[in-house]
Amino acid sequence: MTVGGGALFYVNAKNEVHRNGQRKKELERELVALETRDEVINSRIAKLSSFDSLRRRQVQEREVFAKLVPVSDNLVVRLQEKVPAAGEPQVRTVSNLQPAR
Amino acid sequence: MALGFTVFSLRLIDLQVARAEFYKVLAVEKHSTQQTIYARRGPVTDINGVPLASNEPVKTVVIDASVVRSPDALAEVLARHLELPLDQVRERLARQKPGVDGKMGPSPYIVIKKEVPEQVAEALREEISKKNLRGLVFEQDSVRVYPNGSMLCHVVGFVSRMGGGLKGVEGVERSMDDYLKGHDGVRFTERDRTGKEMPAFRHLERPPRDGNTVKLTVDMVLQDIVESEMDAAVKQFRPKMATCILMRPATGEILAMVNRPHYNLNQREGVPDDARKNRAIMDMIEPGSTFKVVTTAGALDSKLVRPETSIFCEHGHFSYGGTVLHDSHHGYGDLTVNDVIVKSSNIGVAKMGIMLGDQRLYEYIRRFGFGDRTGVQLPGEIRGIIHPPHSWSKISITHIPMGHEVGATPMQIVSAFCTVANRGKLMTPQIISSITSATGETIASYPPVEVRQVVPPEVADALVNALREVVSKKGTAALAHVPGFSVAGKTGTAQKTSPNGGYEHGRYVVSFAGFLPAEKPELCALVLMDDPVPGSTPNYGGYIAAPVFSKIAQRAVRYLNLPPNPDLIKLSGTLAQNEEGRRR
Repeated sequence: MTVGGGALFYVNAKNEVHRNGQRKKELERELVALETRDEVINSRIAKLSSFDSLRRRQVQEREVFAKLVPVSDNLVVRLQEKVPAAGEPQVRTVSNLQPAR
Repeated sequence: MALGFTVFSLRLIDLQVARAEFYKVLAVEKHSTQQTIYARRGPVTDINGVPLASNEPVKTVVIDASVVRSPDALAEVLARHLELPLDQVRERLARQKPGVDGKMGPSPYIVIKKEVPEQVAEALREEISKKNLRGLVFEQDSVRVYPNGSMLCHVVGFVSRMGGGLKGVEGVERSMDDYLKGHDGVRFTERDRTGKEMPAFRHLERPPRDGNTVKLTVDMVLQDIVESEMDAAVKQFRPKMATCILMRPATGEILAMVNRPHYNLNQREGVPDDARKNRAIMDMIEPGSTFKVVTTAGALDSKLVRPETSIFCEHGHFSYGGTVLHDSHHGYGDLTVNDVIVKSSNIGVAKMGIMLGDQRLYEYIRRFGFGDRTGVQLPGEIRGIIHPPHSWSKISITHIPMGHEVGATPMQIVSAFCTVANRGKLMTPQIISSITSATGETIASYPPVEVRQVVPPEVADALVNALREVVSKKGTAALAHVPGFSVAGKTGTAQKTSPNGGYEHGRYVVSFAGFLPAEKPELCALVLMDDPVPGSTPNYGGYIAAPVFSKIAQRAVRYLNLPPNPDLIKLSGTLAQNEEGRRR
């Protein structure tokens, strides 16, 4: 009975190994399929967002896109960054010195 | 019965023990296989990670005709999805191959079509599965794609299939091929009698190592700016060729490189060799007046002259060595060294060359990098031609200072101007920023490389002062002006050499090399056009190349957010009028 039981266990274990092997192969295939899909999508994104593609769309779809006119320098007003004098507090972005009440 | 049992037992011992090794080897031969796990080629990106070369997965459609039951139905589906003639598909499916027994039978491996896009393969698989047709096998493959088409084509280059894999043929794809190509992995495994892999019995496995990512110093926004302005200029002036190189002088980084003619990297069939040439590093031209900077630097550094030293320019007519040298426009009397550059006097710079002498002039030319490859990481760079002094003629000492009798590449010319902008330091031009592995580790980074201090900073500063005046009403490049920024530069208008010797009348190589802001240069560029058709525009570098430089620089400084000099900004009347109108 012991020998028979051992033999049955052995056969079951071998079947289990085979099933795990098949499952491993399936998961590998799924992973490859997902990686491939990812690459395909990345490739499409790269093509659609490329400068070449955007320039062609700009030419083809003139009515859709606003005409991009180069800005001449005489139409640009520049703000000078204020440099705090010695002793003056540093100019900061949004920041409260005291906690809100 | 006992005898039978004994015979069987002996046979069992013979098979399992005595000849165990023999059958083991036979089993391994029959069932063991070696699978190659293909590695992906690494991508090429710009400095901001914009993909310039990447991989797109595709499928190879293969048919195992030995298991096909409905060849007509299968052929019809294949022909429709793969857009192939039905007769062609039928003919391929009917191919026969000798079997193990020597008899002809259906071939187990028939390639129907390669490089089939994934979505087409998926649709094909679905229909085959729905109709329950057997025999279709897909093999995974990939193709190299260049999303930006013809942009930066000469720098990126392309690959070709060689020996089962992809190999770089031109550009960065070739010079960085060893980093870009991955290393295929291998797997030793066993197959059952139907040929299916038994994953449980895998032995040794070495995973693939995907190729590295090569990041360039090029910024595609700046590349786009340069490409669009050069396209407009080429459309207007129809030169034989045009080149523009934009660099950062302090580091030698190449920010943009444009050559015309060019081609689409994804459509290479039938492209003429002319269009594939990276002229920035492979073309050699006589630089003309841009070369005067080299002679003047040498004369200043040798303390033969100072910027205010007066040179008599013979009123435009200088006899030397049996020939007569002229100044291009009108004759000048006395000019300071500064004004020799501003007015681009051929006679003035020839006299500085004579003062220097053959050997010293030659040494300064070589110190500025002419006659040597710059070392940029692109294949095919040429050295140019600088003849040694012993082979110069009697008049070479007057011609070489003004950029004739020398062959220089556009890359060498812009490098020389970067040297002046960088206070006399010659830097190696860099096109590769870094290389990272597929897992994100930095494999290599390329910091700036200083080649040598060509001239002291004071000499470079003196030159910059002169070059600033060139870009003014006094000089030859007023049209290179960029509002709000001080620009320094030099025009070049070199007569084209004739194949029969001498020079061609009325045909020129025009150029402008300059940098800004002059006080602390962030950008240096060369715009060069070979044999433009000027139309009503005067055929000089100051009228053809300089305005292109100005347009590129105006857009580039805005993109790079370089602060303008407030002293140089003037609000135009237009803006003041607009404000007035709004207030009303």
